[in-house]
Amino acid sequence: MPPVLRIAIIYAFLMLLFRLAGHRTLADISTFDFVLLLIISEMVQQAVVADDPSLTNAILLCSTLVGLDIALSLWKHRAPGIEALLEGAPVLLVHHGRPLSDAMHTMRVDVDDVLAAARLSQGLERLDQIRFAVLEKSGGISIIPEPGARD
Amino acid sequence: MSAPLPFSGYAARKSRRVQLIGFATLWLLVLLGALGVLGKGPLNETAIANDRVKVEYERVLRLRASTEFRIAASPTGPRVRVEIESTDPSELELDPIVPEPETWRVTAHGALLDFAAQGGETRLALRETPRRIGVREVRIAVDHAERLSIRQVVLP
Repeated sequence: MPPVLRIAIIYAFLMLLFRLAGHRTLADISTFDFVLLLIISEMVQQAVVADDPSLTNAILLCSTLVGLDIALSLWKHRAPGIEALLEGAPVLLVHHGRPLSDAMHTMRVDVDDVLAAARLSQGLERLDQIRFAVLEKSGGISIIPEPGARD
Repeated sequence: MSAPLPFSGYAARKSRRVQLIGFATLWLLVLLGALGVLGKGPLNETAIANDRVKVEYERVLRLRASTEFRIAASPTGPRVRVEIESTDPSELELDPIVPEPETWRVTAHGALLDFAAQGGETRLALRETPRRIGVREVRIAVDHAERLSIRQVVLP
């Protein structure tokens, strides 16, 4: 199989894999997650490069990866539905101080994660000071405080 | 009086044009790679034949990436003798050879390999790793018949 095709398959597979893994996987990276990423990259490298360590192969593989990324970003820009499919959508976790348990359970986020984000980004201490907590596509939690919450 | 914004429509248009040329070049490179114009793909494989032997090979090779010569020979006796020569014999690194030859020896320009004939058409595969960039010529002969001359380009 041509290396260009191999790297395209790996790209699609990794995108699917990390989409399945969910928003939180890369946002809250632990030491073990980091080691896992290193192992994945090592295995992928062997599968892609195979027995061809040439400069031409390296240039082609890099070009294919960047080319696919550009093509995908253009596609997502023109078709917002595709972006939601590939990257997911922001998820509301807290609404006027009330945690939305189903959403939090589905996204594998707990109240402690939300409070940590609230402390770090807004200096808030309690859940009732949070107007909205949203799990963003990037995996981070953004906090919108209730009016006067910091008074 | 406020200072003008550091924005130039001309510079933005120029930058966009350069970006589009970059995208086009990138995709052309990927397309050439997928087709095998730069090695390892469908357009890269070709074959050459005479009445005794057919050799399938790759036109474009990559440095230190192995390539294969697939030889289909019509033997005239119980053995098939394959002679492989190169413009630079020191770079001929044959490994593995399938099936294993009964005998083989290094010659001044390459290698001489004797295989047991398999009845009808005998199929052989010689794997080799190019060690030098540039154009090279490999000549393959079976049972001292007319040599087939192959030109290959080795990319970095």
